[in-house]
Amino acid sequence: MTGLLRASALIGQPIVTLDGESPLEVKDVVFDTASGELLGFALRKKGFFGGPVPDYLPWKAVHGLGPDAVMISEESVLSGDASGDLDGGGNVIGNRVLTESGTDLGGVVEVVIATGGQADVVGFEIEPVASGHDAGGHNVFIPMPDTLAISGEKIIVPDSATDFVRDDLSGFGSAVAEFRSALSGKDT
Amino acid sequence: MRWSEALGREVVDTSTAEAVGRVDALVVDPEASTITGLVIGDQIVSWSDTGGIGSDAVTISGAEPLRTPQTGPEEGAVNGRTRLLAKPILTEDGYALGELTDIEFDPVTGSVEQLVVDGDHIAGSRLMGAGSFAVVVSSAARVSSAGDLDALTKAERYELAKDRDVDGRSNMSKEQLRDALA
Repeated sequence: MTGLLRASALIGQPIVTLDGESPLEVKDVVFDTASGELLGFALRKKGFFGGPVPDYLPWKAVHGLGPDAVMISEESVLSGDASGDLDGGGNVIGNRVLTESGTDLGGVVEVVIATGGQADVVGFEIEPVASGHDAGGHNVFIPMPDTLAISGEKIIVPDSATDFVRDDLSGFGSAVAEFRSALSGKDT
Repeated sequence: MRWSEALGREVVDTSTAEAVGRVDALVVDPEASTITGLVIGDQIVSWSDTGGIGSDAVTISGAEPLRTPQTGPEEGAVNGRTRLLAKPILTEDGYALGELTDIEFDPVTGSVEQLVVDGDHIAGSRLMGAGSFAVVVSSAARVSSAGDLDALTKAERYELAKDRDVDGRSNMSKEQLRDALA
């Protein structure tokens, strides 16, 4: 099973071992602001008691990521060391999405990731630039290529990405796949 | 036999013909998908010291069949930490399949045959772990790539049919979905 999720939907999700224990939950999702890749999860303890806990789960230690839980093989894969992952600064949220030809498509309000085995950042939910007095515009989803340029303020996408914009998450998965295969076809 | 039927059954020692108590809980080894013991009060009887779960009573035999808990699962079963019924069932890839309502097992061997969840069944062979938070089972992807479609719930078969774009899936029964996916 595969599906798409807004990254913010993972906040508060339990971290569960394959033994069925759940010591912690997701506090935040950590991205590489240079590449847009998912690096891991910042963690928080459930409840109020107990001593210091490991506060970081690197992505490579995730066994499975689904809509209901983040699965890990055992507690020992959690670490207290984010090994620089948390120092990147900046945030993908709020970046402007610009096409290669210079059109501002809007600001990023959410990162969309694919679940099921591999977590992959597949696109962004953006708030389109207000056009005239049309204040009723709603957010749209735009796919991102496998690699892209992010400066910490702006994200550059190919002009063709605008052909694969969708209004909701259902159907966005196939739009991402079509967009990426169209790009790879052009490159070869 | 169902787990819920076994609970509360009288336990009789065949060497003295005396009732020593009632079944308070069962101990499961998730990796082997097998029931390995019974909990009576704060003590354990190994499955190998029982004559299985009889229709009216559980008979036990041996020199000292009642003993203190020794393993993690045995301690968890005694102190109620790993009480399995009503726990959420999660796949290893993070999908919730529902709440565990009962467990069907072989009353002679203790082999776990099915996990009962909200009116559907998950094959006992998918059991991976059972802890204080959840019961963990293998993923639908792993099960289907092993060709064991019978082990999937109806909802999982439907999701798989959706991934493969099977026509008419919305009106199919659990068995029809399996046949369409095979």
